[in-house]
Amino acid sequence: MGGRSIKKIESKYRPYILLIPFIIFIILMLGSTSMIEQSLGYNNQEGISSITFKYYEEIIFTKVFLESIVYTIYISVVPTLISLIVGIYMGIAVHFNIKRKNRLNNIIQIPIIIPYTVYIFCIILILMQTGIVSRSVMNLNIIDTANDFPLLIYDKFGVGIIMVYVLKQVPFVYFIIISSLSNMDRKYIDVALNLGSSKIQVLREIVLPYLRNSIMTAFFIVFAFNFGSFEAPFLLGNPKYNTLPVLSYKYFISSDIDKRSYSMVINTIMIIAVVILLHIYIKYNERKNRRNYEKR
Amino acid sequence: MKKDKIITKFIISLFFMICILPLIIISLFMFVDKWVYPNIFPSTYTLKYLLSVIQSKELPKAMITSIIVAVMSAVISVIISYPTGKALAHYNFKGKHVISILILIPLIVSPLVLVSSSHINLIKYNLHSTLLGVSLIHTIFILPYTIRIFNDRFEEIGVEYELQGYTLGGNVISTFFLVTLPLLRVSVMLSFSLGVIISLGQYLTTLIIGGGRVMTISIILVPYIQYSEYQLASIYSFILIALTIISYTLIAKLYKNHLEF
Amino acid sequence: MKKIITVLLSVLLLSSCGKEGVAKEEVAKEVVRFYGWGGDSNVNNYLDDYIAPLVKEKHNIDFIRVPMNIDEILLKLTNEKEAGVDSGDIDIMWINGENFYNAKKIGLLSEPFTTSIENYSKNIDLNAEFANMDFNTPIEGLEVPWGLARLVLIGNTNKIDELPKNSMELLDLVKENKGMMTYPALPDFTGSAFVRMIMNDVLGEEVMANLGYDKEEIRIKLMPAFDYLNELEKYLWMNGETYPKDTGVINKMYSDGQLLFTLSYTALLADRKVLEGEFEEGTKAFIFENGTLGNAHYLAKPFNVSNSEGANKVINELISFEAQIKKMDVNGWGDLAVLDMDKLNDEEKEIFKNTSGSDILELETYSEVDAKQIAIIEELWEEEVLRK
Repeated sequence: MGGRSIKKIESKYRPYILLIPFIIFIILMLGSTSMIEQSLGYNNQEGISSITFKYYEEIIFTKVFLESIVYTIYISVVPTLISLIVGIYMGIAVHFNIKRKNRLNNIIQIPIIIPYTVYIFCIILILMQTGIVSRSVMNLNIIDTANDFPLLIYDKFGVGIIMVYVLKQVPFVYFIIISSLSNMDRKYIDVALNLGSSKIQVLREIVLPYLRNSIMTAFFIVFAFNFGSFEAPFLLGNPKYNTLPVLSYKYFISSDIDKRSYSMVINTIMIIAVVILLHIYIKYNERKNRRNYEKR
Repeated sequence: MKKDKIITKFIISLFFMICILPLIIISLFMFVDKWVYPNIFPSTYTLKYLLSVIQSKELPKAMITSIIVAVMSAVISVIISYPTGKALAHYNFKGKHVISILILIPLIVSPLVLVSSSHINLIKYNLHSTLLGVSLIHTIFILPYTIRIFNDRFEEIGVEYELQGYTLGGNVISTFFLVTLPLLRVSVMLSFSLGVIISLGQYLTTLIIGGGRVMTISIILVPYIQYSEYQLASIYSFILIALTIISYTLIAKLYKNHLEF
Repeated sequence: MKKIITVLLSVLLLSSCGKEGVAKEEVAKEVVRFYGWGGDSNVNNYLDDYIAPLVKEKHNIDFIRVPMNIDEILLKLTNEKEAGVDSGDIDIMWINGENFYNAKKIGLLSEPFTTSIENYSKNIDLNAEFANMDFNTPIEGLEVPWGLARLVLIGNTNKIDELPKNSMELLDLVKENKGMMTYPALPDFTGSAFVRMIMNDVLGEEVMANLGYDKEEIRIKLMPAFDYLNELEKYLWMNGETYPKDTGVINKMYSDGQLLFTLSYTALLADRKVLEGEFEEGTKAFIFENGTLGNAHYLAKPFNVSNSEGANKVINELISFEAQIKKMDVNGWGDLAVLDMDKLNDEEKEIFKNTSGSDILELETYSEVDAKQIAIIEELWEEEVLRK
């Protein structure tokens, strides 16, 4: 078997000992619960000390907040799906078709190495109305003036933002897939091909299930990152459409200090939402694993 | 068959070019003086921006600080991720769910909030405005990735290898160095490089925890991006990318030469 | 081998425990840290290449400039206050407006100190509004004015025959040249100022001076101005579907020929950029005939300033005659001086008159509204103009 062992070690104390570094670190860094406190109206600075849900009430049902939720989900999910599909395709295509992978892999590493903010900057240079693409198109006489070039950054569909995410994450997904594939035993594929399966069948029945765990990992990390990402939507986004992190930031730095509590409300809600999602995923995974185990 | 291969090769080359494009643009912009729209190529070039950066007294210190913080963050992350990933992969225990969720939190929550609460704690331990403090805050944002990497790898390896090691007469230490570590080589490398990359790219965290005393390249770079000073932004971006590659190669060499038997 | 690495790592770890830059201070040198916006390289150069060597030579002070936006500075100070840090990193901070109001309110500022600054009483008109009030918040000696800001529109006289003299003419001009004008989205500092200037022009100073603090009442009073802005929006860049992030973006669009106008709080920016070759020849700054917005930006010290004496010395230099004139240099920063003409001697008066830009100081300015009102206006703009 290709190492897909579900066997766990039976030990009572070992896991906790292993977890000590992590726990120490968490306590060191995040011992304070002031974020949740602040969202409930409790604020050391001003001496307000009663818990109130008023900030939650005031903001949850506003149009701004609800629109922001929708927009955030849109901007997180779309690039995640695109990155996954392209990354998986590239990973599989390269693994099975290209012999000498090293140089290619080095080049594909480049977007991972380039820091996020630098990428944002490059996208601006490429896609702005007086950017590289626009100049090329202009010289081909397709448009007359800079203002005719479609708005790709600061636009309502967040094209620039999505592009930054995709460009940065496709290589990331690609590497997760490739490293998983490199550990895969070719035996099964060769046997299946010998017995007459088509390539597509091999893909569907053997390769993709094998990659299932890696794909889920990639999905979660990429989605979580996009969901909580702040720099790209902030620098490239449209002032009318704010993602939740950007909205939270705007309230946080507002000249009206009371607004800071709104920021905490948004953050608390974001955490709760993701916690619930993850919880559902983990439970689902467990049930699936148990079923698989029992099948054997 | 042939057509298949050609299409694949085409798509891969396209991808290849998209990866390189940002580098080309940055390299070009460093020397641009006037680039009137809609010219495809700049009208005039200049070295003045490059010179002003090279002559800056801040630069060497910022570069060294960036590398030191990046390496420390990466090292701390790996040290924490290894046991945590192992625990999650090889054992079932109470609170496993909580930990799994806790790990992903730094990716989701607004960095501003995490930094604020950490800032207060770090002040209490007198670690604010220090290199170590900044490395610690960077580690928070690196752990979601590196713990995942070790977790997945441990799941892949399975528990059998280690148990074999013990059966053959090894103790914890020798098993670690002779069995586990070689199997983890790729994960360690990957985690190190990710750690370095993420740390070098951090802006807000370094700014607040470092209090302005810890000067990294990112801190100089981001204001220039925000305010459209393209030439200076390109130059500092280039430096940042170079630093990343340097730090990464440093680690790779160290690991290859000293930790393999 | 393993040993070498362990040793290296532990040395690294130990050395990083100490505060950055502390060792330096233990040698008998003084350090003063200046925290402020670092997005304009001309400003950075002025501080790094002129001020820093100056204070080093005169007072043997190491002037360290840290680029940090004011909201991050305030966040840092708020956290430090909560955690009880008595001796912080910041010695001087560059601040104004709503930020001063908030900082004062939460107690993030130092003790009043303007009287200890020699050049303060020597060079600055103590009766001037900007010396006593910052956006209608009493200063009470907590900050020193550093430069004057005037909101100006910037356009090219070679391309436009007649520069608009009031909001109506601006509207006509924009109608003729659809899509060639825009302003930064509020709450950007300059965008906010532009909107307030329009309001003064459309509604008159009386209304603006008596807005009150009730959001709904203010909304009603400002309605005619919002109607104007909504009308203007139809002819703005991209039909007003989006507004650029800040003046950096708009300046770039202007120099690329996408826009006919741009805006700035730095009165001499147009001249400066023409000299640098970024703006086309013929670009000039102009304002409406009824006046424009004017205010000042300031220097303050935080509650936990470490080097108070040193900060005072540096601030003193920053508002000295020579430094202020150099600051106004169109080849450098181009920021208006806070000097009081009446307090200059004849020689200094001559130099000042001959410095380009000194005539702008004679233009009419509207009085500013309160910091709290600005927040309300920004909210209302978002509701009435952005989202309609």
